[in-house]
Amino acid sequence: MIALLTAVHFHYSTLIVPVFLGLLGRAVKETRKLPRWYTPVASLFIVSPLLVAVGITYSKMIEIASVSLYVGCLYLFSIAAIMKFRTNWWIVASAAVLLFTMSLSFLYAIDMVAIPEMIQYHGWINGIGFALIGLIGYFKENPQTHFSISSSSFSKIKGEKRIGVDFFNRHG
Amino acid sequence: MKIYSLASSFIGGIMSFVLWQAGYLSQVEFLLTLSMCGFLPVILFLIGNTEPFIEKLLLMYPIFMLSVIGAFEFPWMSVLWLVYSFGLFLAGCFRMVQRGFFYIEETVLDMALIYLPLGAVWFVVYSFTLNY
Repeated sequence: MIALLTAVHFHYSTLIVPVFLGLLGRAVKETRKLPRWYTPVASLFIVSPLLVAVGITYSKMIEIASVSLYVGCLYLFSIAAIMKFRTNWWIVASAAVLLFTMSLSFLYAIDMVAIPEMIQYHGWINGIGFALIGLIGYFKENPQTHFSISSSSFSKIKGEKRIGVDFFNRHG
Repeated sequence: MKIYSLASSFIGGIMSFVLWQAGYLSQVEFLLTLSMCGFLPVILFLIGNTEPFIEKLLLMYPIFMLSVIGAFEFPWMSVLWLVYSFGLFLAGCFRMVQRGFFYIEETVLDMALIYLPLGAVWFVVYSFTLNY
């Protein structure tokens, strides 16, 4: 059961949450620069699975601290998503659902909720309410990348041990 | 590619739902297959609908979707999913290296792909403990 729950978490919290955050970043960048909080929050989403894993394995205190930090960042992300996509009700609903379900994660970390309730209220509501509804919303928006690999041109000239000022004369 | 990814997601989601209703999957297993079979094609489309490597992975997707469903009966099939998730991991690495670690929002999208094999390893562990 633990293996299954871990697999489920890796297919939601480290797949769908970063994807939504990245797509939010793309959409924000279409009109203005990314806000200042974006980079630290994104970095925390990148390392948080490892932090929570270390907490679960070694220390309850680290677990509570890392889960609190993660939940706090998710709140910030949800509020930013609601503010950015005010007219897209799919994304607004998905972000609002996340505010509720992640409170349960915090309650689970401090042993106030058990696994069966977590599956009912955290698992199901996140799976359908956050992931499915949010994905429909982002699919409708479909924000495009600001760095297109396929349209970028790369030079075929390769460097050697010595570059030097005459590099282009030697390879011209 | 838009229609293709949407259709794959739709078929994967419906298939998971029917198997859950038929009693083949438990509710947590359904949530897992919903993400693997239902959400992933659309996610791949949203991440890189103009990138040839991700497009190829998306075209191969239906075979591996069946391997996820089959893994609950035949554990070795989950290894196929692990191989596929490793392909997605490589796609994430290539994107990141080609871009040169800039653009934090794209890096977060790459990390989503890079973390996938970890989930697949746990899926393999689960499917093997389920049947033995």
